[in-house]
Amino acid sequence: MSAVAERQAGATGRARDRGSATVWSLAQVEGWRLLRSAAFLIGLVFSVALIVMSRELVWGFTSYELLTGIALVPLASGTLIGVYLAGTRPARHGTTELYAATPTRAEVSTWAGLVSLAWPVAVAGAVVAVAALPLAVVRDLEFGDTTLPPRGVPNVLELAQGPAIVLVYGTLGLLLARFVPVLAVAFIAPIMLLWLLGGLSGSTGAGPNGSYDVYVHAVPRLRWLGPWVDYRLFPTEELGFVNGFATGRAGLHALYLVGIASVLATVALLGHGRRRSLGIGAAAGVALAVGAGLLQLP
Amino acid sequence: MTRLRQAALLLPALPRATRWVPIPLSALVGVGLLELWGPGTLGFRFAALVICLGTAFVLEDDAVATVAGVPSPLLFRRTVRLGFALPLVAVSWAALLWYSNAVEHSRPTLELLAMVAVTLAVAASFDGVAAASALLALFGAAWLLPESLSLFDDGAAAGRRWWLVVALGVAGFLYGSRDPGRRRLSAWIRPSPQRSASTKEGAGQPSR
Repeated sequence: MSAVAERQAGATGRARDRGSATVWSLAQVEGWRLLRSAAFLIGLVFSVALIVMSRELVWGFTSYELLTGIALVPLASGTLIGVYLAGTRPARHGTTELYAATPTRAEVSTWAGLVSLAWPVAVAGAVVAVAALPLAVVRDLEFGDTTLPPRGVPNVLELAQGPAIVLVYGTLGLLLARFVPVLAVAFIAPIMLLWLLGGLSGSTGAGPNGSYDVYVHAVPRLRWLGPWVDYRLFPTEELGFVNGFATGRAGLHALYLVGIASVLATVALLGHGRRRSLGIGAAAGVALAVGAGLLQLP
Repeated sequence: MTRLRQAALLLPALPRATRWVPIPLSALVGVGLLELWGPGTLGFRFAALVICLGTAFVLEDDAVATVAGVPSPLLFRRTVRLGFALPLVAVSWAALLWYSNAVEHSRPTLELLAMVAVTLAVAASFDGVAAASALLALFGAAWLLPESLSLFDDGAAAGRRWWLVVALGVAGFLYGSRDPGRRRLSAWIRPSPQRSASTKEGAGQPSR
């Protein structure tokens, strides 16, 4: 290697280091800002309200089925809106040209947006952990003459599905901000997702009059392809029981969601130009989503 | 020049100056929701919500700083804008009801009216993002209300509550669209130091 090439390679490496440092700095700012955004806080309040108000009648604790996904949908929706508003902020504030004049590449902001999703995902994890703690600690309960059967520690991989839903929604928000910069979309998207995906999971309680609902009823296995799964809709022989909790194939559904988030993130980054590494990332995401998605089916 | 004449002159420019495209698009989304799930109270409620979210941005004006100094008051400018957007909402909603062969449509229409009023009230005082966020928050909170205060009920009492929401929304819109040059409500309650001083100075002068 010549001295010039070596120097250039070193310079490229340093530039890459500076790029990752910029991503991390931006991500920290955006992450904390996202947690303070009105949309995220409203979603958090509704998630907590849902958990508190949907406690099981007998146990007095939060339903395990709720904690494995749907309880965090309001928080995920708030994250989607917050991320979308953050992603479109330069266009809304008229600072796109100003940022384009800085030495930082445009894709750095998208990377920072992706990394900043760690903040809401962490909050979602904390909410689930706090809500699931009583389920893990209390073993026996007596109500009058009845002693309820003991329950063990909930499966962490099942509980990871909630934060994974927040990750998917947040990534989708970033993707929409990149390609569909129409503000109303940020607010309509969570409603559409609630109806489309809630119906897929069988948790919206909609009547069986629509063609979509009839189709999902005809192929009940499709329910596992929704972000959250209401286990109560499945016959018990199709479910496993771990420590007294009805479960699916623990971990696979969370992996399926992570795969979807990877695909969405890669498509968002592709908006800045095609690169080989992104192609590999997209392929890995698709493989993960399809593989885990198929393996989880009963 | 009369206000009517002014409005007629502004009308051709409104399609370019108003963010109206989300309204018919959101109505299409509403049709999609009803198509997927079949016409039902819940479906119409969510379709109305989606149309309102599309309406949240009609008061947004990129030229707000430029036109702030024109003689036409803010309420007139906004009324003209709504004169273009609200018929679009009405047509979109009517098309949605027609497409879904809705038999009972008075209550869903009242709910749409109330949600539009609330959305425009918040948009008038803040902006479209705040209006859409507030609408989603209020819609979610309405599900948590106790039965005695429930809005999502078919009874006459719930209907009266929806009319109250409409009235509050209209009042909020009118309050948020006051001319910025006018005195604030708080100034009437608590006079500013300058006004107090001028009142004291004027107190000693002989009346004319």
